[in-house]
Amino acid sequence: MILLKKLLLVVVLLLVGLLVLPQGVLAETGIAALSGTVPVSLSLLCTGSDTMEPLNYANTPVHNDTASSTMNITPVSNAPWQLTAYDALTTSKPAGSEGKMVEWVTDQYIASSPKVFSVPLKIYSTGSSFVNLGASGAPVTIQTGDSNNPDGTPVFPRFEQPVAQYEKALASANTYHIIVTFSAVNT
Amino acid sequence: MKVTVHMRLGLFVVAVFLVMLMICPAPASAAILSFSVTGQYLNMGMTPDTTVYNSTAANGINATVVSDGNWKITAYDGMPTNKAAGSAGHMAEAIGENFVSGGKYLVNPLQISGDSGSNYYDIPMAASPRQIASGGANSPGGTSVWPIFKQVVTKYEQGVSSTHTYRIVVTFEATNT
Amino acid sequence: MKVTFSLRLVSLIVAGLIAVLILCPAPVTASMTVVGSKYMGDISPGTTVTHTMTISSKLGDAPMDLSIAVMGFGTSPGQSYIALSPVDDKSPYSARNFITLDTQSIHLNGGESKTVKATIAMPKDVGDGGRYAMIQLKTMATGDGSTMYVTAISVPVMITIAKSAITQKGTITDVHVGEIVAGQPFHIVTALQNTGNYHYYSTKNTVSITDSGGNVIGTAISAPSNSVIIPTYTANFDIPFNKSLALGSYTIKSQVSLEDGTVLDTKTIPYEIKTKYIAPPSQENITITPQNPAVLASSDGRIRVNFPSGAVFSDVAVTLKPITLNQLPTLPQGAKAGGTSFKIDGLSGLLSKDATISVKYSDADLNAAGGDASKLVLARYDIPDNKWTLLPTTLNKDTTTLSAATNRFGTWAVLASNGGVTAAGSAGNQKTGGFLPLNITTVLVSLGVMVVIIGVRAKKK
Repeated sequence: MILLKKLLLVVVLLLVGLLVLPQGVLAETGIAALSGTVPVSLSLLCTGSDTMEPLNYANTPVHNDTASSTMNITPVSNAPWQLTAYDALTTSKPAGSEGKMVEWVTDQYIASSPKVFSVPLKIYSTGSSFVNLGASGAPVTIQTGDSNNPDGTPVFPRFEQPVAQYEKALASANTYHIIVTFSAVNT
Repeated sequence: MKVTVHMRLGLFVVAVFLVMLMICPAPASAAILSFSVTGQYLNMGMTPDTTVYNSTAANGINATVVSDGNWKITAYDGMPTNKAAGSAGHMAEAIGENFVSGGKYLVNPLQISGDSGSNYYDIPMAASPRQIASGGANSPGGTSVWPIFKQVVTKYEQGVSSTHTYRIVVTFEATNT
Repeated sequence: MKVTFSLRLVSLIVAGLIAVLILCPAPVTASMTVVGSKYMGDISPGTTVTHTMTISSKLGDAPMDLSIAVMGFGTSPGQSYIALSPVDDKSPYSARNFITLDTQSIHLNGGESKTVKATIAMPKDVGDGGRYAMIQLKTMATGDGSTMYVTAISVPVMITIAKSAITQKGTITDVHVGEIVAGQPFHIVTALQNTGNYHYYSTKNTVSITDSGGNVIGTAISAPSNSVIIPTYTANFDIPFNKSLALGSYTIKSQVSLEDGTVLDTKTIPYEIKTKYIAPPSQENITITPQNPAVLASSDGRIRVNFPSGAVFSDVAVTLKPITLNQLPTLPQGAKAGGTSFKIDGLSGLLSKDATISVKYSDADLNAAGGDASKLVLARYDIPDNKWTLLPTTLNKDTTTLSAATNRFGTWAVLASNGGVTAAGSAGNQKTGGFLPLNITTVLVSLGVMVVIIGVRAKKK
């Protein structure tokens, strides 16, 4: 009987505790999300000019002509980038002349049997040295970098044209010519 | 004999009561009766070299607390899974709702104001939450707080690829004081 | 009349000269900005996604016409990104045919901004892994006459096929050692081909050299690569080594791993050193004081600079450090470098007393001189003057040493030149090793003046 009474007392007290006593203070939480985007962007700014020393080609010793450079190409990006250069054979430059200067008159390459410089133009590749300019399928990386916004990284392309002995002479109105494509890409 | 029985019974009652106190905390004088946070601010404009604010009370983020005692609301960055180490309080790179492990994060932390823009504070870590509002008993009506968020976007921010965003999940906590 | 004829001759000579590579008209500013210059995202098979690019130029820029094309995405072994023409885009992982543009050309006036949308439609049966393409925006060739250039921005498109089976695998297809030149680092080149169906970044190459006794002589790790390696393409890792190696047999082990340490592949090759390899000089530092003489020397003793007391007016920290042949400024015409090159930093002005620099020449230096040590000189590149100076050099064949007096420092090299050196042990009357570089302008002007003088004299007569 006493045991029964004890058990009843326990049950009553427990019920009192559960129903009457407050449950206590619990922290309440909630969340809110905020988001936005900073898209990857890339700019190319080109200033200045670059002129090779006049190519004295006929009956001269082998030598290298180097470019005096005020040319400045500045990639600006908020993500890692790479700047390459190649000869895209723009303006109907003949196949097989990739990287080499070709005979030009007024505003186009000579269409029929143009003279082609014997050796390719060389361009300086950072961390390497002067390397032959190639076709679009073999670009020369001239500089790479991490994000550099907002000021960018000025790149001063440097060129060298080896002049072999007895390069082919051109008619007076014609010149040797090449168009270099500078291409930037986020890596 | 009766005295012994009553003492045993009394001791037994005290013991049971003590056990109940351990199970049910000591009675408090106030409670957070309800707390809710609604709203989100997605597609924040992130133009470099600008300062972005979230939208107004009409359609912004809102925290509503009902309490029968003194209360406060704090805010912090709960650092969900994979959010970049070192980015507490900063918006960090995410794909959808999932943070990118080791991802980028904005240069400056997100800031919050609970007093209509009079004061802004950096969103902190969970270990040191920032109080943004407080008040007395407000049951049954409750009190709504419309925090204003401010994000300084510098010109040095790194870009994130197309489907990625910069994201933060701010945790609000209401407690009695 | 004779004068007229002579002037015509001058004109013909001038006209006979061929210029010119002018790459940018002077002065000019042209800029192009693309926002949205990279796409990386998950796309489910059978769904379509649009990627928007905003293209703009700066206020004040000349109007520009841009052509826009979807190209293939390739990479070179040197990790250059390539926009592939349709003919060259043969990869089974190409996304080029999934992408259409809402325009293929735009015209921008200075300060203007336009959008271009690329729609990416994934086929239902596209398969697993990644798909890749490049959207290239290119200016027309611009400039007057022979003044022309083209600038381009390529936008990589890197698609993950959502919920597909991704495999990141790679195979080392080649490990080889580059040319060994005494005094220069030698390079171990590892070629890794991505043989999985998905791209990876931040790959690392670890190379170790072990001798025949199993002792590790040296280990080097490349920095994680910033460039992606996409499926089917091969990337080269080029690691320079500076450790001296004795004659004998070695084992070279090359391993390429992902950023998380997962090893893609390992390859081991035997390597035989048949000619003793001399490493580049180590970096050495000393402080020169006014009161005391000082010696700056490489650890192997091949390079030695003796500073007399009183060479400087105050304490100066001076450093000897290696420099590769690639880093040398363009050499003078007719000169050739063998393998010995280094830099001495810390002294920007002139010494008040000459120092003596002594360098042991290597077999590579001798080879550059065709085996004739008398053609070797010590050369110094002076940045303020922007030119090389070939110093009067004393040769000692018994000790295979070249030495010279100098009051300034900078970049140094042992060069083979026809100017040559003084006989061994001879202290005075040293023949300069320098020469006057050919200057086309000087020649032309001289010719022109000569013709005018001849013409004037002819008229007087």
